[in-house]
Amino acid sequence: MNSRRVMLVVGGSLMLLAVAGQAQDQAGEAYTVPRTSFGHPNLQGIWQVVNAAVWNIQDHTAELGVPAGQSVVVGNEIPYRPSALVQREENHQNRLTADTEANCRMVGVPRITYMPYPFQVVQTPTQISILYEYAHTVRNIYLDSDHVEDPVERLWMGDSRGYWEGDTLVVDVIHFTDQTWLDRSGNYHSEDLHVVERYTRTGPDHILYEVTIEDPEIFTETWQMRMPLYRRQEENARLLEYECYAYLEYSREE
Amino acid sequence: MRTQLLSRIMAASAAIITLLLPASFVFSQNWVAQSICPDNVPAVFHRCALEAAASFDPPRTTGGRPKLAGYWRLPNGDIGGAYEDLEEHGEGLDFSGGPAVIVDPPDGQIPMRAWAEARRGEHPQRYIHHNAACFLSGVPNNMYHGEERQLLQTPDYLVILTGNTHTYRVIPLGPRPPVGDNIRLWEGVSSGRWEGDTLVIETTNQNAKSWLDQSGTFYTEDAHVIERLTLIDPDTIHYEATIDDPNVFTRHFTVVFPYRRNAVEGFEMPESACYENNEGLMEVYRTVGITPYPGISPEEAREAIEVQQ
Repeated sequence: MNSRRVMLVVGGSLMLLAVAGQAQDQAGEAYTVPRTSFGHPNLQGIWQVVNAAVWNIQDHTAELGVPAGQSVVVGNEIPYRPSALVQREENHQNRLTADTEANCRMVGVPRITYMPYPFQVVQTPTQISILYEYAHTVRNIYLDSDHVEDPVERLWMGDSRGYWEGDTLVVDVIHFTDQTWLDRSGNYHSEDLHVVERYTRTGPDHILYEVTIEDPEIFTETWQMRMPLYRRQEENARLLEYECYAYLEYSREE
Repeated sequence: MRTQLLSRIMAASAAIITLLLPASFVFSQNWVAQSICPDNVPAVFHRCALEAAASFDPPRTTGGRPKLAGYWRLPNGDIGGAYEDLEEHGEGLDFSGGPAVIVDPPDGQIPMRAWAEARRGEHPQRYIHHNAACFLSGVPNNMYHGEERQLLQTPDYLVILTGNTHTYRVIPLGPRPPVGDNIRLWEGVSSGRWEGDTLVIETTNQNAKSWLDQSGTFYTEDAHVIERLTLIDPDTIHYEATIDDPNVFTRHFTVVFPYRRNAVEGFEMPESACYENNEGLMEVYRTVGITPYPGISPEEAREAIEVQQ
């Protein structure tokens, strides 16, 4: 285990403690996570965030067409290297054209989670698939397996490998492209991005979603995001489609 | 000039589609498990499979349903057969040829109405094939576009993941509230139910902006599709789809394919980004003024029928 991995594990454990405390506070008593028929904590269902992180993961004031939002970044500050901060500012200036979402490309991880569209989690004993309404994005998270070594090409949604740590699903994601951003405001990453996601059921209709971001090329240290995922309550809740690029291509003819 | 340009574009698109094929394509030796029925001629496979299914007791889930989960492949692959043309067809530019996959009517022909037959021929000249633009394939085309499929099965859902263009279909296996008629989706609204050991999937609400094959065979939003998936041996699924749309066809028709279990050890579904890498080809199409297929409304289709009569 290299030192980078140790740092993430320690950070993750501290977060887990914080989570346990939080779940206890909210419910008044510990929540017993329901299980699938094969004994894994059950994360299945249709989920969505309720926040403004897609606009800007940090604290931001409203603008025309942009809702205000409080930071989903723990502590609000993102430890950019000075050189990377210049690029972040340039991204911000060009955000209406340079953001992959503006061009209907896939948006990467963790951003796909806090897009304003629902997603569905489907579990099997060896694989957890997350189906996202945005541009029919799919993530296949293989449990207890190793990352591909030296991938032929970089992946828009990364290479996701998961394992259960108690009742928490931990997903380790690498092999990203450097094309995607972390939000519409220009927060970004390099190909060296290493994401560790943690999904913990905190109640019948809530998952606590925590993310550790590591990217030594861009950031001086690792940092975290944290937000709840909410179960869609509508009796008729189901994934529809947001075929972004198809609408974009049809709109070119008008 | 235009024809020449079109040929170049089609060749370019074929080359790009080939590039987009998952890396696993190289494992095309021994990539499927043995099947008890020959699968190179769909009509022959169909007869054999129906007989085999009658006496086969499939492996079952803990809930007692046939276990459809796993990685599956179409033996014909991406470069042949139904994807090009549902009817029997020979080799040609962008066509590698293949037998009819239509088992009903028995002549293997799509029962196109006269107006629709004329329109079908124009489509490939006028419009970008939906897959060349990375658009979703619709139902049932989604089921024979590209080779790789993974079925995930839970007590409540069958999820169909497709290798090409990373598509998914979510099929609820129990009753669900209806979806309004004004909601139109590339993959439609599907509901599944078990009839004995066969999974029956009914699909409506398609936007009908994709074709049934690259020869331009089309349908309208009124289309009603019924698919049937039956295990006929441990490693073969008999897949059948019946398409009904009185706007376009004089009667319903049925296509059949074998799905064979993918035997490649350690296989995983590829990411298969498509639109993300497609800008060059789209730019070519834009330059020559070929646009995505806009679909034909049921009203337009019914008017065409009246004119014809």
